[in-house]
Amino acid sequence: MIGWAVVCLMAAGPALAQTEGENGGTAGAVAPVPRTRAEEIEQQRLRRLAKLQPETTTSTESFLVKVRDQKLLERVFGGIGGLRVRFGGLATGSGFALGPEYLRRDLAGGELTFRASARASTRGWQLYDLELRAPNLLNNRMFANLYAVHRNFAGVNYFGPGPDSRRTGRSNFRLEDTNYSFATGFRPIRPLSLGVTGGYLQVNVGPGNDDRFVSSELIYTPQQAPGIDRQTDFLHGGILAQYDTRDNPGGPRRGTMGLFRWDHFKDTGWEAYSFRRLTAEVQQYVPLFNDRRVFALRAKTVLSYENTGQQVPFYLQPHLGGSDDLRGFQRFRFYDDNMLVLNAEYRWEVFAGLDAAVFGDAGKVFGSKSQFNLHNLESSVGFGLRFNVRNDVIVRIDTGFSREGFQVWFKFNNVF
Amino acid sequence: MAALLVGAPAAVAVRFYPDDPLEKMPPPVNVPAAKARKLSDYYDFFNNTFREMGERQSEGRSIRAENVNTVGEVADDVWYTNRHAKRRMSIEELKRGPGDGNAPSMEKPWKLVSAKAEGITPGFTMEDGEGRRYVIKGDPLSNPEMASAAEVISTKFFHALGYNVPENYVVHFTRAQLTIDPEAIFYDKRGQKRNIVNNDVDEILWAFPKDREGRYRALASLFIPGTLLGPFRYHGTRSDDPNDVIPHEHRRELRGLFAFAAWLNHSDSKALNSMDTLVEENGIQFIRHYLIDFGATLGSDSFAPKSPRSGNVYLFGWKQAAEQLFTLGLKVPAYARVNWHDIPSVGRFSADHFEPQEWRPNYPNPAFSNRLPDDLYWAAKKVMAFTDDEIRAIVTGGQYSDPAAAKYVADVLIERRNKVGRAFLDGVLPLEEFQVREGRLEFRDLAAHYGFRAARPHRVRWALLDNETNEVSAIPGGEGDVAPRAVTMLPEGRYVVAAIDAIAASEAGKTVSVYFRKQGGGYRVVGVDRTW
Repeated sequence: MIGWAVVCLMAAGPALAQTEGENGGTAGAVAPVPRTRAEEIEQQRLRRLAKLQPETTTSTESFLVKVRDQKLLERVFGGIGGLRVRFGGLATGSGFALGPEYLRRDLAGGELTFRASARASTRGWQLYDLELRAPNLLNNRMFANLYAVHRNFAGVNYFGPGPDSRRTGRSNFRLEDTNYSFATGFRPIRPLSLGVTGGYLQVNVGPGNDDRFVSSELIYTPQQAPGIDRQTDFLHGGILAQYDTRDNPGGPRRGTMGLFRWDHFKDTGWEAYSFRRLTAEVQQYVPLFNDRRVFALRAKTVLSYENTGQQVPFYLQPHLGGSDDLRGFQRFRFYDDNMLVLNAEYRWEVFAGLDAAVFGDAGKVFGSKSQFNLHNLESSVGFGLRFNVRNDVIVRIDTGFSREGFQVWFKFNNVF
Repeated sequence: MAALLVGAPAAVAVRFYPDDPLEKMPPPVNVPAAKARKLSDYYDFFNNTFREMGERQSEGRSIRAENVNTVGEVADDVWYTNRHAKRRMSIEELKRGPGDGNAPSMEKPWKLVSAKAEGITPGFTMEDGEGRRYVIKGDPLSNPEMASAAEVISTKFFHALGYNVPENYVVHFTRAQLTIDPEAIFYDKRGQKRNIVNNDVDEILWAFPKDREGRYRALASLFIPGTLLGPFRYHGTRSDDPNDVIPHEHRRELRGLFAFAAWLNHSDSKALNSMDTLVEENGIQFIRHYLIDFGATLGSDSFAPKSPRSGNVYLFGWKQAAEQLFTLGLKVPAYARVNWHDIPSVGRFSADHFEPQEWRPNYPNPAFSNRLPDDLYWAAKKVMAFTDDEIRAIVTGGQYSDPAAAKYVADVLIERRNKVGRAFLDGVLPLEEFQVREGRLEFRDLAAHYGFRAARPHRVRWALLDNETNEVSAIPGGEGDVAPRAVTMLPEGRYVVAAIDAIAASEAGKTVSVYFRKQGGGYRVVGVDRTW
């Protein structure tokens, strides 16, 4: 390409008129020597006119435009007529899961959301659920939720009870339960939500299907793992309060989240497994350097209070280990009646769509509340990458190291 | 310099035509057929981030802008029209921008013809009572006025700077102003296409902040005239346009746009924020090129305040990413240390940390990447042409309800303007307004004129130019501001060159060669050539 001004400065006027440039005419064709700059430009345009072609895009770009214009991604994730494919959402360890989901957000003028799904994983785990939700009633002052779910998790890890369980004691069991629940509450001020919950839970546990490990009931007794030998149902209810000033729950950079729950589980079958549970969690995000660096801190505890002569069934015990708490340990590594975990992360921005993090986790499970202290904590450290879209974490890769080796977690959610 | 005086290549044609310097391009050639085509945001991002698109500058070979006339200016054409810097616009003209006579009529209801709830900025298209179509875009709820003010202000600046831009207006309206066209199309959050209903309108308007009177405030962008053909790329040419002969990465107004974008923090200056239209005038059909969508300028990123990164680093860059990753973030970038003023209607906009040379759009732009000192000098002249009062006047177009916001934006723009001037004027010898008067060469040193430095000592050497052969011959003893006798006695129609260079060693290599033609008894500047 030879521009006319450069031609002028480089004194190559006739050459432009008589030879072929990128936009030029047939080699050897002699155009009249221009007498003015305007003529020179017009000649250049006329030579190009003879070679015009339709404007095109590459096939890749055309495809991407088609995806955008025909809303293909929105259709895949948003569904057609409310029907779509739902990925994941089963417990960690389930393998890759997907299934159909029917979702309607436009009921009652947008006040009601209805959702129903059926999902199965590559390891044969299943989940079926049904939900009716009104998240923003009375001008966002009130919320209500009805939820029913049936889970059939074919091979949940169990390493035995307590903090001293051995890594070599790995077994697995089938957890099959159905829960009908409701939650409703109000928001007296913007960051504060107060609510009550209730429901009915039916549980069945059985032999696990993971052939690599022994089935739990073969090596653990009912004394070690209460409830492993018989099924029961629970009536449950409780209260909750949440205070949330996080700037963006999908990838917070500043703010506080405090959660308090008190739940009562009443064994309606054997009257042997009734208990109450306190769950308390605090998250604090401390931004530095215009939110380009964040210290993220979390403390969480779950404490169980058994009725006299009662036990907490092992499948409802809090547990530690996995992608969301002690990341250097295998999932469901520790079970007991109580749990305490502390997490600290330093996160920093690598580029617009990626944050990196180094983290430290510490925690323990324990049988007696007298052990609610910071002694004998299990710990792990590690690093991670968090891919985000507009600050919402969409993919997280964490690698945690502990005395039991290391674990790599690939998750589609934020850790906290 | 020496090469210019004595070593010019053998000439085969005239160096200057009678119509040089061309101030207006010839009328466009008729475009027989132009097809609309769309571009992909993602494709554009990945292509420009991971590949070098277009023809690039290389070591030892710089490609100067190819659409400048012989004095280094851009002639008026379908891309660009010289406005404020060439012929000073009045305050009223500057405030008017691309037009102020087509604001949406409030006399009759607006007819909503299409809308979308998906995407990051919900909005809709409507037709007013006069049958004019507008795109209506709201501000983020967290930052009322921010995006609409930024868009209107920047539209007026880009218009005064010379670009084709749409007419953008701040509007205030109520729900009662909107009616629905029975055929109106709606894309819901899942991308489903259907007819729009009242609830959809309500849902869209939830995302629009209201003003003190309870009205919705938004931006109304008038549809630009002609048939929309899709965006232009910042590299290559349109293959169906006979008038598009200069690769876009070598167009001066697109390279120089870097400086304007830096000044106004137009970090989203990408292909997708441009538009070609097919228009017909005087029986000729041709393509006009527009810049559109200035919602992500100043402190606004359209849907939120700008990220502190914005304007400082690309969204992705290998070096910066590796640096951040492997230092564990302990190397804190300067932009992360800036104290931002907390004015929600402004967003994140500052001059404190602004370094024009270091400014970056969201991702590489081929024309920006090809910028040379003379491109930036050209642009800096135009930025510096805005006085403080003119900047303040244009900023009133943003209609900030808080006078402090308007004052802050204007103050920042004034400071950023000065930084642009300081950074880019001195990339070449910033000499302008050449004339030979009473036997002396006179010119203005713009850096000195704007108070950035003292007038620099310089040296002038005179030579004669044979325009037919392009041979330059030095005039013996022809040194100094005073023109030698050979110049003062120059016959009508003959050419002379004044080659100016700075004496300071720090400016070695910077020269300006000014070509005069004896014409009508005076000396007309027909060429300016700069080296650096």
